[in-house]
Amino acid sequence: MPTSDVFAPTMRTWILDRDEAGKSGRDELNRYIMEVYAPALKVYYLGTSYRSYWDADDAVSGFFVEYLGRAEYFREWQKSGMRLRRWLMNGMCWYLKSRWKAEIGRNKGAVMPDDSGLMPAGEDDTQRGEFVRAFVRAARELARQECDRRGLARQWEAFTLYYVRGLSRRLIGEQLGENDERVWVMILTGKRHFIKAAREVLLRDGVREEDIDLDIGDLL
Amino acid sequence: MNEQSKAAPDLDRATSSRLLKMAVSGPRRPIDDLIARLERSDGEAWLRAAFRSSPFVDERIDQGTLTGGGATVEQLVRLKERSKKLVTPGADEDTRLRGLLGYFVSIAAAVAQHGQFISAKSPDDVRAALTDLAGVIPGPVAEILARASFPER
Repeated sequence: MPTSDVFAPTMRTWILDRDEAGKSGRDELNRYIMEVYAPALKVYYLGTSYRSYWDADDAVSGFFVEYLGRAEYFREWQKSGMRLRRWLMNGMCWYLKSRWKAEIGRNKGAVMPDDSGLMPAGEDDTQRGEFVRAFVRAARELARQECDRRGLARQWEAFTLYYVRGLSRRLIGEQLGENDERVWVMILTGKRHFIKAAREVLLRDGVREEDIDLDIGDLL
Repeated sequence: MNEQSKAAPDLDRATSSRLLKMAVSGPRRPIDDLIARLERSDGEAWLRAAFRSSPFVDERIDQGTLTGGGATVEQLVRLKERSKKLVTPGADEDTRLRGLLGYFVSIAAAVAQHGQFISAKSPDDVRAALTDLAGVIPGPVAEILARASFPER
């Protein structure tokens, strides 16, 4: 049975489509992965016993260079059934061990760092917080692009002013030159696009549609 | 994710958590079917046709009457009751969706234009539904739904 038939349609994600779309698709995919996941991977790295060996930016970018270039990396992720965030953390763990052996371990007297806690069963609170921020950042960017594409830039601005900056409807109305009802419709339209984008970001992380609510509950 | 110059500044965890929580959908509600229909590429055309069909024509209420505040509370209650009869098991999908539209629009107009809540359902549940509908329904009727679903600020 082909791999694509083994998994539910929601697992056949934007990521795998990009993975199969040649160099430009793969470049777009790698950019997305780096933008969304790098901050949380840095936090993860700084919590490991390897943190004193390399700068966090260097460790994470080294991991990306080595792992994202692998032809089967995302197919293997799909087969694993893991959340992408978990898959990347595991990859980071293997990368750190391998890099330590190559760069440090050959030196006389080098003692390999304690691996306990390097591959925990789940994310800790700090990591969850970083993933929440990362997913929301990605969702805002996707929603903003979609609103721009649909000619809804003002709706997106209204959403941001209300839900991010905390302005009142009245102030937003004054700023955008719209009445109260219109402002509220604009805010809600922006909100609708944000919600869709946030759910899309979680689907890209490998969460099944029917599990998104639970996954959000776990992250929060 | 490649238009760096416009990228929004990062948010703190509390704000990010509040935003992510918005994406929790909860159990599927009947109004989600109506929202999905309106979000299709022909949603606006479907809405125009719906306002020219039952249950609206049966009460002689069109979109202009609704947005202009020309429907009385009694008419809106009758529209709501007619609409409920369309949302029955066995009804075809289009009829059911028009029933849902009539149901929620009549309640919204009664609240927004007459200050009366004409549903037996929980006001919070109805308001949540009207809020979601206001974000997707095209045209001036959205403003009736908006007024009926205003939050505190």
